[in-house]
Amino acid sequence: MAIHEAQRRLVEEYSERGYQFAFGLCGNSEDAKELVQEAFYRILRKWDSYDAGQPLEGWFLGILRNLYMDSLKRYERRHGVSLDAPLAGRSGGDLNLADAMADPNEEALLDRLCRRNLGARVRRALDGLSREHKAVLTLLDIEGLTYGQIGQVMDCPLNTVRSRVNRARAALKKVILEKGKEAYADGL
Amino acid sequence: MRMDCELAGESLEERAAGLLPAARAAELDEHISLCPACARQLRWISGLKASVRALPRAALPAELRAALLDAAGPRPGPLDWLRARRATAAGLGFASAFAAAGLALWLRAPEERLPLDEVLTEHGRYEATMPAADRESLYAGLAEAGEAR
Ligand SMILES: [Zn+2]
Repeated sequence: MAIHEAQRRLVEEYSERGYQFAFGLCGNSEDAKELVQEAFYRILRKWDSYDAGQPLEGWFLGILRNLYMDSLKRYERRHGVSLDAPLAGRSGGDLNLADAMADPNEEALLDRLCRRNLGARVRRALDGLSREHKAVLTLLDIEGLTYGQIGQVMDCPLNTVRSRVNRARAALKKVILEKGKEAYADGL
Repeated sequence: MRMDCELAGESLEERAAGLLPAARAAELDEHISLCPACARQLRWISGLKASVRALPRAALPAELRAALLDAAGPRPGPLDWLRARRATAAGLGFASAFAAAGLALWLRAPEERLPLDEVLTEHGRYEATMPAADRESLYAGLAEAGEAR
């Protein structure tokens, strides 16, 4: 396959998924468009050799990595938050998934969740997570990446991926439980 | 060693994602079948995963897609297509089909002849839509003709 043909296929097969990842990270289409354009351009410019035996997915991981790193830089520039600050603390911290005790409300919420009845609440909860947590859950649940691939995108070792996934999931659950309790308290 | 809740808890995410090796998954499942707390955590993880996956996605803006395709370079022309097919097509089959389709167009009266590029493009459409049975009888006919020559 010629380079241009492979590049077009990369765009055709992965641009939508790249855009969705970027949109999830920054929450608006203007930023998402800029990030995606820059991420693809950088990969396409760098692409001076093409090995047909290598799957296009490898290039897509490079794009996801650009999107993730650039979204962090952009956030840092706008909000003056250092990348070194512990991101986990912003949405759930070291909360363990098991910390939330079982109660009747939780059981009811879990039932609704399993019947796919909590879509809007899950959306809001996900949007409220830190970029790092949003990214790790999107890469795992939506993109279906392995922990090794997530490590490549987020530039961290396997154990860090594992603990980020656990923390992100706990944070998501915590927000849904809290909102659920508020809703019950309001008699909804 | 039997698995305890702490060890089980560390593997629930990978179990839900289908990323655990079979032996470890079996060990974990055994623990889960005896431990309601871990079973409930797994239900939460699976429910959250499925809900995240089911969320509506943002649609890629058409102008962005067009800009990216532009950046990816020119759309392959008929000659690129021919080169690619030649590289991958298996021997006589492709050559015969190409010869027959191209020849059929080329053998028209001169005033009806198409420029070479159009012949090649036409051939692409022809081969892509040709019924398999026709293709086979065409190949058989061409092989026969080749032997008779
Ligand atoms: Zn347990």
